[in-house]
Amino acid sequence: MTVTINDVVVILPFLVASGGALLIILLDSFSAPRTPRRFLGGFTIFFLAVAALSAYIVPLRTESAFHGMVMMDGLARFLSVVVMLSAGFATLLAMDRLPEQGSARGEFYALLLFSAAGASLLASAADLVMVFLGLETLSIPAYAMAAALRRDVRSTEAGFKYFVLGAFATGFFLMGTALVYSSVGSTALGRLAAASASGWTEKPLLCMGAVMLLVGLAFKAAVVPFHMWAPDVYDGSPTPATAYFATGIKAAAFAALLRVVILSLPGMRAEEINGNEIGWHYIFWGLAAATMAVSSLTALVQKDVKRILAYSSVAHVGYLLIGLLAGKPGGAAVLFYLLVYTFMTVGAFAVVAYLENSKGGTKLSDYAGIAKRHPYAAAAMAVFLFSLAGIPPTGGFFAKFYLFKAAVQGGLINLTVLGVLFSVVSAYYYLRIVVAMYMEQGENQAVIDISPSAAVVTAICLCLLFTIIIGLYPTPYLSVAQASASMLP
Amino acid sequence: MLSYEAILLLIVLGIAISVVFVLISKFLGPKNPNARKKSVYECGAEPQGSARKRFPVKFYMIALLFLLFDIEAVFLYPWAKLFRELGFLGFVEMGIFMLVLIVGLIYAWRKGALEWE
Repeated sequence: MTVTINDVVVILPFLVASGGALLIILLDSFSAPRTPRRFLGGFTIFFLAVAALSAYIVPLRTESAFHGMVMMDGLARFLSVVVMLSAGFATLLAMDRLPEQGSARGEFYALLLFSAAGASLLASAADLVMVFLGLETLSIPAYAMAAALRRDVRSTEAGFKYFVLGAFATGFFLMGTALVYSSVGSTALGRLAAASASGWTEKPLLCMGAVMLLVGLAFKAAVVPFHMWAPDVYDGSPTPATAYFATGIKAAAFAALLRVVILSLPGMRAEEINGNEIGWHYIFWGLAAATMAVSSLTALVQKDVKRILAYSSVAHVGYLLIGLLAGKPGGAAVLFYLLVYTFMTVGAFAVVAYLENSKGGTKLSDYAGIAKRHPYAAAAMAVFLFSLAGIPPTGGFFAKFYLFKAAVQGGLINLTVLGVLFSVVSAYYYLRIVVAMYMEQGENQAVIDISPSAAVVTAICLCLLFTIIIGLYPTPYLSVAQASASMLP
Repeated sequence: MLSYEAILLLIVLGIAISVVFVLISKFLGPKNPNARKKSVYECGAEPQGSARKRFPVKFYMIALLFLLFDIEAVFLYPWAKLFRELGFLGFVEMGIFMLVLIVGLIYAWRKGALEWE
């Protein structure tokens, strides 16, 4: 058992983020109590930036380090950066939002860094045990982040709900790992891929284990029918945490889905049993269709903007599942989609946070006539919503375009038709918010406005910039995604 | 599928033995209950009301911290036993592990989790 410096370098993003979290805990401990902890946000962004940078400096290594535990391939690198971006934006939102709630707390930043560290570890995992460790390091701080507003009933409820269902999902994942190990005799993803490449129909334990792994990860990614927690948690959590859950955690969950389900269980695609074709393909097909249908239709009747955005994030999981199914071109499309999705979703939640800070609610009726009082925020929100709906010339259009193109190339015509159909449905509930903002009269015109904080405005502007730039000139971002996905078989 | 029969046997035996013990004491054990015997056992003291009530969160925090450092001790014993074999790398790894826990302890101390009043 020797560990070389090359091994340590592979987990550099993880080390930077978790080291930063430890430092922030110390800084928080030795700062005077009840003073604002905004300065810790600056440290957090610094460490996240260094972590993202280190993910790009570290040389790519497809053969795994630490005796086959972790590796740094294009997928790990790209998704680490997406997660750090998401966490960075969440920090910007938290710097304004959390002191506002009367809780001058530094823990939030440390938890965010720990969670981002776990996500980066998850993205570079090469062994089921490592996937599990990453998943837990990612999730446990997230439960605490959901309950960050300790005096708020809905926030504590969100934290508890997230914790119970998250622990439940983890149980599924662990049981799946145990079953797979009992069948294959190893938890290394490479060995798993070799074992499942052929003859998986003869291994009932492997099949059961694989399905349990899928259930565990589907919970984390909020795939229908395992999505029930998502709207409640996203609604009740403080908005900075919600922005991170909806983007960073989702990106990490898709990293795990890609690594475990798509790359390590490839032989499960379709095989003949008694004349019937059986395989992963059909399970995924059903999950993708159900996710798009249920979330889009449920979002139509929601009356709260945060809940609409929560269901919208579930709907985007459905589109991403199509990409997972689409094979090699799908990999690049999924990565590109996750990047664009991060900008537009964080942007939308940033506007929600901005309006919350101006003493507004998150109900749809609170958004009536917002355009008159907050013209810039309303315009930014409209761009993010158009992008989420996939209307050109925004980044969301190209993300959907490449995803559906990959799906057609992969022969998934029916799913693509469903995807386009539900995109149209989703346009209705996105536009409902725009209509409320621009065309309806607000009841309480006399709202006291607090001058907006620089942090939230920075977050909104950056998201807006990237959503539009990617929409006008997507090529460089797409080529990075393609290069990152080129290692996928 | 070699050693699974043994595990199955262990599970079956484990369940069977506990069920048999409960049944034997139910059927063979002498029973002469009185009021004092039927009352709730609370370390020999008189029971005072239900246990299902709100109690200070201090107990919870101390229990949690105890658990944490208890587990640290569990990891420290085998490490101390194998200190020479693990060498410098083992020392560094344990140092990192302890550092993380010490940061946690400092946090708990500064936030007042260790103060009873």
